[in-house]
Amino acid sequence: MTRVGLLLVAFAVAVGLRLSLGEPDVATDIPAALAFAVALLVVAAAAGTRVPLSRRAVLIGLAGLALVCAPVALEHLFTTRPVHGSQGFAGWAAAVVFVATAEEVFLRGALYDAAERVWGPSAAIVLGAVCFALLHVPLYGWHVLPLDLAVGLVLGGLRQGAGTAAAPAITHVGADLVGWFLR
Amino acid sequence: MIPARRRWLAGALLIGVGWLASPGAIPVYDGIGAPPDEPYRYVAPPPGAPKTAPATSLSTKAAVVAGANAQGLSVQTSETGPQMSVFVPQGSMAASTGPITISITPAAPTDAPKGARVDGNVYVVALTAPGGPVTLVPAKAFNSTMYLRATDQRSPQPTMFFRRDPASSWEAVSTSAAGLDVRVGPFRGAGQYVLAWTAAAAAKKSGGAPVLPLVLVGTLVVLLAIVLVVRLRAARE
Repeated sequence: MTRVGLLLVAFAVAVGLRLSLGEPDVATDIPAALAFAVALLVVAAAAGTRVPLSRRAVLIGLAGLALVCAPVALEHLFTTRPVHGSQGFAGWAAAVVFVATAEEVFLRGALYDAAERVWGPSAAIVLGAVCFALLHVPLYGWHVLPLDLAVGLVLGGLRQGAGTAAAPAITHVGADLVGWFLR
Repeated sequence: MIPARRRWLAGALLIGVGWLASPGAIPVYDGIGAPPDEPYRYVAPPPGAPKTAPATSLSTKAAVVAGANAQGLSVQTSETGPQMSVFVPQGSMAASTGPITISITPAAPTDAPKGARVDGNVYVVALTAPGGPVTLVPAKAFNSTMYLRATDQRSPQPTMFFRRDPASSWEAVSTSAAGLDVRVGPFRGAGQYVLAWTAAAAAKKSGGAPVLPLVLVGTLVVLLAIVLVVRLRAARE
């Protein structure tokens, strides 16, 4: 089995682990999400994934953050949807930072590197985006697929542009944290 | 190599299309981990519901200038996240003299819309003014909105229903998603608002179709297909 194939199987196993641990409400289960994240990080580490951080990566990540947050920010601006308070934010944020970082280290780190070597950067971006989108379907439903696919493609583009998964990780973590207030 | 500016524009286009194509404003794009919402606060908790603080009410006043509310209002109850919030734009509520008082009170459901099952509390909205009745101004109130939080985030999400008073029949209002578990519909003025599942949605929610297993099987098939393609390509080379 190729390296990409092995990583995909490992990813499917990690997702299955999260789903089975998180029943009946996977989206709300922090321990299941943490177990999933640990599984991804272990596989990424075994694959020798490196995520160098640079000033350029930070800037690209922050620009990406502005991009993916724009629709929800504009929606709040024009509809005055309620903005949520910060009660309970710290604990939730710690879990989210860990899980989002693990997803990026695996999808835009290990998997991207392996797929890029075989098929080039475009295929690596698409593969990571498809995995990213499918990952969230059991958690939130099929209606999230178009948006998660689009965001996955953008995160892959950030990875390619920055040369490191640190950029999409910054975008992903930042967007999730902003999501607390704008959900 | 595509120039950087075009790449960013393409990214913005992708996000915009994806956002429009995903009904239901999920938190940015990924509510990883736990939902930040506290458990739903029922006025009449069903068996097995966690013990919570009482559901909150609210009351606020809007000044009247030239026969209508002088400013737009956005109010919400105090739960995390709010179980009810309402937005009314400037000039959308008419009253001869002010101020207009908006009172919103949670209540236990006494009946359900025909063929539907209620989800959570009924929210009773009262609009009063010293000078007499308060009416909505259609030309201004068309984008007034009412948000109700469902009791959980699982799909399918319930539909919003409205009635003027307990003697009237519930009628479904055009409902869309405004978050994982927040439903939004038009604000119809004073009356009662509730979320409920229609019979079809309730059957689906109670396990009618095995969505999760199908998703898992589909995912595995896709992953296996990818692996197969990789192997076939490697064999050809």
